[in-house]
Amino acid sequence: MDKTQANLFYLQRNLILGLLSALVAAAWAGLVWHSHTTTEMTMTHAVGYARHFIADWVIMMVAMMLPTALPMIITFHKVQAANRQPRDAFATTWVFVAAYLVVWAFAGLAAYVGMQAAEAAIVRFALPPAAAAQIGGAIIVVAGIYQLTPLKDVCLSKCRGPTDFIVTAWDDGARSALEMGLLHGAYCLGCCWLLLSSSFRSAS
Amino acid sequence: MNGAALVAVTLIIFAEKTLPWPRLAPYATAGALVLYGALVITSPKLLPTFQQDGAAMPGKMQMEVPGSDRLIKRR
Repeated sequence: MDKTQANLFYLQRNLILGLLSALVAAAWAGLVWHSHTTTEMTMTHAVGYARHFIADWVIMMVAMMLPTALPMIITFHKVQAANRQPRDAFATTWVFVAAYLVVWAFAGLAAYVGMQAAEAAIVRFALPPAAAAQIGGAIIVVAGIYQLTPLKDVCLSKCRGPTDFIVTAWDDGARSALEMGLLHGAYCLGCCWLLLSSSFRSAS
Repeated sequence: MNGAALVAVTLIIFAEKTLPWPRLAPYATAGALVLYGALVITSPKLLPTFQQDGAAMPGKMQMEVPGSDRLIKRR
């Protein structure tokens, strides 16, 4: 990498860091802004509610998960820049980030379906608030046990080692960036889905 | 959403991914979750959003979420 390319690389890296930080800060500002607002939503606007749920879920994931993916994103950009033209590396890094967030958006869809199912069960069986809260407690216990499972261990090890992940999964091109973003998102999801579910249950 | 819970979960996930001791954060979190979950099962009032009248239950869809005010305005 000559001096011009090195300068371009550092410029891109700082730009990526700055933009991601701004995204995360904006997402947290949104969460804090609305944390004081309690709104009762009914099912009369089910589609609108689903849309808002997914949108809010993605904002939550940008705020919570994107900071934890930063080391992976920066490493990805570094490897891309070393193997491709720096301009391509910038674009493919954002493809990687977008794919990562797409996985979480689909997870939000699953969370929405799960929440609807839980709501329907509570209404159908006319569960008292204490029983529903106890089910929430049971979910939290299951989330704790999941922390000790081999699946969690495998997913976490992939998330903890950006270089290992990129070396084993890396291939050339935007399509590869997309696949790697999806794969990394899937590992992150496997690592954190139950933790997030339990926190969502106890926090909402 | 409870902002403190979101911050706590973010910090836990960040610790799991970055601390030099790979098993410390997951195991500590496991212990804390099992303990807290068991406490909630025995005493549901420990759930921060628990209300005896059920107002915080999913059936009523009471949530504090970003963007929810826009939905209300539209209605």
